[in-house]
Amino acid sequence: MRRVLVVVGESLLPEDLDRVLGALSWADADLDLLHVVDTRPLREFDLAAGGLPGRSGQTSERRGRMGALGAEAGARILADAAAAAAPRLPAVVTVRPWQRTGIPEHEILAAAHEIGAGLIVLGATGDPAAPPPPPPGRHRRNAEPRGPADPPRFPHRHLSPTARFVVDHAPCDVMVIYGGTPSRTPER
Amino acid sequence: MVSPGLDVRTFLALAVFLVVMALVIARPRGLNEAWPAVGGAAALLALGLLTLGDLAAVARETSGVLVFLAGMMVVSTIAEMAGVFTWAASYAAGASGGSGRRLLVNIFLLGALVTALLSLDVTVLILTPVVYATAVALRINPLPYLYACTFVANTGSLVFPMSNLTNLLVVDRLGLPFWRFAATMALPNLVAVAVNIAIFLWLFRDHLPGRLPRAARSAADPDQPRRPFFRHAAAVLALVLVGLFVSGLAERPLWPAALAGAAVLILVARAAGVPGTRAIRGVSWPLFLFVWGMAAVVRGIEHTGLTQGLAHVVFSHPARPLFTVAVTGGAAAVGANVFNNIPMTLVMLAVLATAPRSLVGTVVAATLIGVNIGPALTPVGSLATIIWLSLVRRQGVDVPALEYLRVGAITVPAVLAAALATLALEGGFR
Repeated sequence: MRRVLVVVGESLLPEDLDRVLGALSWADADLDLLHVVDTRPLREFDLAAGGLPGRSGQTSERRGRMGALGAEAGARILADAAAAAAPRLPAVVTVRPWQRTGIPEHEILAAAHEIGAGLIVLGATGDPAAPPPPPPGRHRRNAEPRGPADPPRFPHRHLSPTARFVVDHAPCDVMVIYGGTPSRTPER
Repeated sequence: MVSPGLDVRTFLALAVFLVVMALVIARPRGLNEAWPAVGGAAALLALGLLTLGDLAAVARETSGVLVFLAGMMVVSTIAEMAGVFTWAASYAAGASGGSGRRLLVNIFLLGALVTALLSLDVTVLILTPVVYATAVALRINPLPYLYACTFVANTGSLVFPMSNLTNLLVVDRLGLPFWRFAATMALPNLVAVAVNIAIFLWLFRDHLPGRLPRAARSAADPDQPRRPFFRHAAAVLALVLVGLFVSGLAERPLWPAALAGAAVLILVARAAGVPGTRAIRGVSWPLFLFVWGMAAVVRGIEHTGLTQGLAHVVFSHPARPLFTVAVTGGAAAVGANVFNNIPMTLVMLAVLATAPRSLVGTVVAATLIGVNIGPALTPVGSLATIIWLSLVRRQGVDVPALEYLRVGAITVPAVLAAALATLALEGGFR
């Protein structure tokens, strides 16, 4: 049984799931939907509020409320994702929504190790409507070849730090989804 | 005057100051900063470096500022309960036209406004959680928007006395006119915020969504603005702000407007079924003890003549505005990171109190730019704290703290230099 770990959140929204599901074979596969409550913003708040003298009591209470809000919003994303996925999958496929809390790239890799994932699917950027990349030679940076010996230039696509880390360290195959518009392979 | 040499009294006072600062920074077992400050004052009293009269005098001097703070804490807590900040953040999201970059700019502008009018504490403690709620409801990465809030709380806190406790302490102690202060600081404040926005748009370019997701829903209740509690609280808040500006213009103390606003808002909250005790709970009482205790400790240091010695070093050189501004602002920023910015301000105040009148304004402005913008460099306002944080986390490095430090290291020097350069170009305090 192959476990497919699909990471949903701001970089891969429930409405983009049908593209992912349609691109994969679901024979003998299960779907694990993962949402990670990112603790970095919460920690960032801790650090900033911790700099204010005499305010520690208020800080911890608010931080608790923020964590609960993040988990709630994530649970809604997971519920939407599960609802979007179910009609597009064969009935035998088990869908497991799953929420973890921590630094997303670390939690994604830990989850993949834990379930022995065969494939990780995640969004490339935090931008759900990132435009497709320009064709080679028309992007801004190093647009013009400088001579015959110059290697060919390719468009630059933004991978979020989370996506880059997961691609670099994944224990299995990784499928990276460019958000919004369908990703296109630039034609030469 | 006692000579600033290292006699026994000076040595003891310095030792007490350093122990207090070490405890304030390290906060062993979550110790509230107020206790080391009060303990330091008690130690100086026991050592004969402070008298009971000094303690009473310090309490008298800081009482206006502290009563003002208490009033404004109640005002902002009730405004929060009425949903004023949630509404404002939703408005900022709605006005972004679905663009993640414009949303970042709008959050900056909102943060700058809240900081300027209500203080950096309100931006960090109240607006930041609201912005987090807004971002997760919009299904976008909250991190850049939270950074925007916590940074603009520092970089946008130069303009009015009430924007930062450091400004309040200085303006109150030196008797600087409200409007002259605001007129001098307005341009450096604007430049600091603008440079901060530009750096963040570049720094977070990979984190910001180009378009906000269509399925986004607002964190605010759409009926909120029609509720009587919201309308009354917003109206009283506006009146309090008008009252503060009128008091400033008339060169009257600010605390009566804040206290009156707090009293009216407690009644407004009670009419909406919110008990006044909940609003009073929004007041951070330990902060008052901390400010009073630290002011007393610094008074003890003054008695040893150390601050006069420091003033002599600072003011003995011929005045060159650019040099004075750069050195004072830079030193204050470094000091605010090595120590906490409140004690740093109190020490600088003791130095400034003995300065020649012609130089005071410019040095005050440069100092405040340093102590206000500087703390954004390091989390918890102190370099020592981040080292401490790394040490206690033995299993690994605290990634978010290091990320915060990286963002600060890129942003703060540029923002600080831009604000100080603007002050120098203005020709100092006007």
